[in-house]
Amino acid sequence: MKLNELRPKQKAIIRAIGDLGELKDRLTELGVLCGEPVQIVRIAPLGDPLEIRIGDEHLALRREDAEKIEVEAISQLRRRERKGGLF
Amino acid sequence: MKRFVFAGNPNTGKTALINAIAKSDLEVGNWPGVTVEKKEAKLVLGGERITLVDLPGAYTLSPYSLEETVTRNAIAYGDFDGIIDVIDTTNLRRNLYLTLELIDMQRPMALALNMFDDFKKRGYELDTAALQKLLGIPVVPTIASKGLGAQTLIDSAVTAVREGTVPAIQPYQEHIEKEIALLTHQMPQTDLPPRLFALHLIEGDPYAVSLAKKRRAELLVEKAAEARKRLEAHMGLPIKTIISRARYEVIDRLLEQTLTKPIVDKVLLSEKIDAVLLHRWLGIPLFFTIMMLVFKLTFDGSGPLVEWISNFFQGFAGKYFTLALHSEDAPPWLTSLLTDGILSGVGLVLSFLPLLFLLYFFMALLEESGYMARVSFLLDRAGKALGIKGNAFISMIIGFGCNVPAVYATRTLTTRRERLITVMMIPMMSCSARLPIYALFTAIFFKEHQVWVIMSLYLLGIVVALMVGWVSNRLLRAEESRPFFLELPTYHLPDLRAVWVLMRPKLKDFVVKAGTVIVLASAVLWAVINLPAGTTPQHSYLARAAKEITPLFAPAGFGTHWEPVAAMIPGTLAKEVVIGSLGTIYGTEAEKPVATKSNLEADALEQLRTLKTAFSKSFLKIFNISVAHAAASYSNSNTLAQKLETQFASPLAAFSYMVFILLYIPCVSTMAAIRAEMGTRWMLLELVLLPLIAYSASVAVYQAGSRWLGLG
Repeated sequence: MKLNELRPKQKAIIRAIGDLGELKDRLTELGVLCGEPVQIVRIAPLGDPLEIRIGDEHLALRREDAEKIEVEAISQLRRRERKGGLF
Repeated sequence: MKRFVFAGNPNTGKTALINAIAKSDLEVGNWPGVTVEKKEAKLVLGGERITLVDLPGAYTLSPYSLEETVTRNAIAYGDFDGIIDVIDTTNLRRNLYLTLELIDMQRPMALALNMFDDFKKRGYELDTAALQKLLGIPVVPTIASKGLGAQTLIDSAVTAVREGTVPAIQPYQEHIEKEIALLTHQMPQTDLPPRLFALHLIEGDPYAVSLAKKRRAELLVEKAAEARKRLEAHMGLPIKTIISRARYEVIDRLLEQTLTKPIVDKVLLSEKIDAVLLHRWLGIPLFFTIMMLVFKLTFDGSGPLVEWISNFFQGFAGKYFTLALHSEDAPPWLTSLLTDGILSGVGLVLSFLPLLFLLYFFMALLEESGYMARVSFLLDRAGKALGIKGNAFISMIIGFGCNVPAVYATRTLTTRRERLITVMMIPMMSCSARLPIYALFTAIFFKEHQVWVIMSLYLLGIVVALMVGWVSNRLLRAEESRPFFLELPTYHLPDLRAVWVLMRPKLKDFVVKAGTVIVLASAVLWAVINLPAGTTPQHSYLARAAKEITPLFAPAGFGTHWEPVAAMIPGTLAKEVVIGSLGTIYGTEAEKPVATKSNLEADALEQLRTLKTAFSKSFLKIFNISVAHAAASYSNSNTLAQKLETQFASPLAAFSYMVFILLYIPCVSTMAAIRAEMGTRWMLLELVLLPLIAYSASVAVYQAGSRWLGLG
């Protein structure tokens, strides 16, 4: 699923970061990397942008950019874990 | 002389720390070629002169903003003796990323663990001795706001420079280190730090590549590209990810050996504050409440002082200036030019200062505390269609108080394009100086619906501003645009010294840059009102010009009498002047009493006494938030009111006049601010555009009102 599809407070793991141009490098340097846990803290009152949390970092991204970040919700992950074989 | 550069992420308290070390104000200038502020402090330590340079905040040495570019360039060119890296200890992991890049430069350096008190309060422990040993540089806990650790920090940095100690290399994983070694081995002797340069070349950093080419090292660029391909093929990841991940691995290794986390992470106060301030329903109303409060405090608080300064210049200074010139036998026209033209211009400039002081103070407070970033978050969506980001709205709201600081406030916006769009919208924000005009006219023509008519004017301003913003966004080339990205920093209690450092250059800029234009413009206006020599208000150049252009306003409903049109011309000096000018032109104003006798001492004492009252009034008003009575009565201008009633054919015509007043050139001070911030070209454009917009709007209002609504 995509980062913008997470519900507020729902935790997930970053799986892939798509084409965000220069922003991608910047996010990478700030620790937005594949395999890192991520969480949507809240959605701005007007519906955009999103506040995300990575580690202790609070970042704001627009929905259109968050759409390009592929994540896996922790709940999905657990389900897969129970079925056996994480990767 | 030794030069130390202070590098660190944004909001880590670098400026406050420099202040604490130098124990003096920072000198503020500009970095060459850009409008980014350059702050420096000088001091003498152990008989040696030392310069401390405050670099703009940067997350990494691969810049994303203008400020970061300045920092990267200042470091890459290496015109310094030592680096002092200031980090926010409460956010170690991210802050250490830049530290690692700085360590890769292999220059003498010291690390300041700032906000160490907040860090401890959260229950964290850091083995600073162990960290110092691992990094091979002095590591000093500091609390910049209290000046703690500042002396130890600079002492240890000076020692590091004197002994020439460089940080210990923090090795990345083997593959990367191999490539770095290979590349540095082939690197010709340059002035660039080899390790960092090699890493940046491997990353394909455009700036590093251009530096290499300038030094005729094309071969090196090729080798670096090969290294990049090998690494990417080996790890199956893009290079940026490989390097970033390698750095975070080093950081995590370092923290594992030195950091003790509390068993339970406390919910941070900052997050609790955000739960309220960024709340889905409360967030935006709270923002407006905060802005209203800032406004009230600024305008109510500065009001009495602004008034005192105006009175001081018009009454006291004007009187003694006239007397002094009189005793020198100066010709009356010169006396008039110097007092009514120049001196009143200077007075106008200075009368803005208390207002700007308070406004900048509150704005700096909001910025330092971390709330500005939240405003951007809250309102970003609303600005999207206009090509601006959330923080642009702060400037526009300031514009309702006064357009001048609003223009300066656009400095916090990231791109020039966004600043331009915002600056184009600001003049339509109906500033407080326009209010007395509405008050007078509505009191005459709209006695029963005064408030609604005034409100409709404010709304009209907003609607026109949105249209202007939308059109500007369409017309301006869509360059420089970068995806919106924002860090929401932890809230900090603002340090007053840092606030002052933020405010001072803005105040200075206003007095110097805008002040010159205002004084000049006021001299020119004096000339059009008072020339040719010995003229009356009815026959001055102003009157003659106004008589010429008045018929143009027939479609707008006020093209029959030249007097209201004439009043708009001095109104460009400051909108407050419109009413006074009307009085002068109609000759309803009492002649100024000519000062003959005077007692300087008594008058000076009287000025001091009123200044004291003004201060206490200002102070009281800040704490006594009462609703201001905008629509003050104009009982003393009764004769003016009677006169005006006969000058407009209908309320509609009067409304159309107010629309024109709302939208034409706000004032010379705003124009001066636009010139200072955006350049002469944009000011000239505004000088043409604004009257056109105002004219079209008032014609549209008058024609629509008279044809379809049957008014007028």
